[in-house]
Amino acid sequence: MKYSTLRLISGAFIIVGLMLSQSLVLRFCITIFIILLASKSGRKFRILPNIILLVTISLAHTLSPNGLVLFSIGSYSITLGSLEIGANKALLLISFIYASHYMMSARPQIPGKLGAIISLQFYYFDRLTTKWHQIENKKPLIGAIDQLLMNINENEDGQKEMPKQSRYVEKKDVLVHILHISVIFSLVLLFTDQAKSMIPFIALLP
Amino acid sequence: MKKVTPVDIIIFIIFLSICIISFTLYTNVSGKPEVHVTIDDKEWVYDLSEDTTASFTGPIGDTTIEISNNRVHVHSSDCKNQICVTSGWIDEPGEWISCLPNDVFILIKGQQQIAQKEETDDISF
Amino acid sequence: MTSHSKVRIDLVALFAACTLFLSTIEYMIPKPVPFMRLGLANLPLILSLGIFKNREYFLLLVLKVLGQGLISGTIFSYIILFSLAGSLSSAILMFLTYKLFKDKVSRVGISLTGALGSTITQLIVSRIILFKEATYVIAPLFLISGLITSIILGLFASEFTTKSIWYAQLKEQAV
Repeated sequence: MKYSTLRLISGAFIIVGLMLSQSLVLRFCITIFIILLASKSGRKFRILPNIILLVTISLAHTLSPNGLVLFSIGSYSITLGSLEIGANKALLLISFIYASHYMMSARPQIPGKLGAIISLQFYYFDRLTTKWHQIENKKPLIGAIDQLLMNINENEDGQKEMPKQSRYVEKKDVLVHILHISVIFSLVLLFTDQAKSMIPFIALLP
Repeated sequence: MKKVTPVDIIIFIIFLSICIISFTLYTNVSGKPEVHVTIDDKEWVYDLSEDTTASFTGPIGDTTIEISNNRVHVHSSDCKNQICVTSGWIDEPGEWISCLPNDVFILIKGQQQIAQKEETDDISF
Repeated sequence: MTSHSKVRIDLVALFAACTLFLSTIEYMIPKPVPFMRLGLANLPLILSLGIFKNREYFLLLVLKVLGQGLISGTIFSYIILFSLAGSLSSAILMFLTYKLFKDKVSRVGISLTGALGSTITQLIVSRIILFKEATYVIAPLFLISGLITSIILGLFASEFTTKSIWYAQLKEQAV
């Protein structure tokens, strides 16, 4: 099995765990864990965009009031329940984004004819990003773009291979991914009703 | 191909009018009916258009309300006389249910539709 | 595969690479509101009308959606639902507008239809899954910014179609 396939499967399990989580605290824990996984596999984590996402979605949900009134601005009241619903959705969205970063980080390859066109697309994309500086601040702009696009066609000397070939799975990799999945599922189990009755501390959380 | 054609203008006008329509939608949001529940000086608010259930603890026990199909009723209450439960469903802004023993007051707030407002005005005056 | 069809596929891949490149640029430009759309990645689609065959156009559309998903890593998340729904409806609307009016509509008109289609679809999707009622609050902002950016984009596209030598060559090949 290829490493990228193992990543895909492991990511699928993590997304299942994500769907099973309902409570806000649990979702928060899982989100943090998934962000850790994604940044370990090379994804940069920037906190500000995520906070903006969290705040805007939570505030958007206050338009549909639900629950205890925290404070009111005129006839418009901010309610606790609606903030919780919004935060819950935002966390689901954020963890989804990072879970799919995690899944795609090993660059799984698409088979068949479409896959071949996509690698060609990425080859050209690579050329564009390396040649981009040629047209920066050039005038006339359209002439410069013309130059760039024509050069891309002329220099084309057969399709290059995708640089990153996926390696095969080793025993260690399987263990690491099983660890990833089991952390998620133990978090989910910890927040079930049975666990709550056994460990009183968790029952106090919302 | 000319730079701007009559078809372009038509598309532009359609787009612009959709922008303007979207502004009227915007003003509709603030007038939506809401269910206000008060116990002592605490207040809870729910959207009348979102189906949900909620429980409140008063001096006697729990009172549970249910919102469904743009109306609200008291589903169950720990009080003795059960007047609040038998009051049934309410759906118009201004209508209310109260559970005096448990100190729960449920009121629908929101803009009344103009036609209905005139109707009630005719009756009350 | 004949050499001619290889050249065509090569061209589709180049256009698809441009959508990818432009969406990366769009991703990097800071925006006051998340999800606000400039629609830069629509430019290759707008330009491809008139030089691509129908199936080449829709292949480009598939590559655009898949490529965006792959590069942002969001292929399995429901962010892709937004971009998928938006791209599909805008591409189909632009295609129909072009087929219906041909030379009676300019690139500005096509760009406007594309922005309208994608904005409305994305608003509907966000009404359903993300923002609920708040969608009505952000709707005017989305629509007006879409209106302005798509006019600018359309003007650039029509400028490009008349001035670019590269584009003129492609057009000759197509005829």
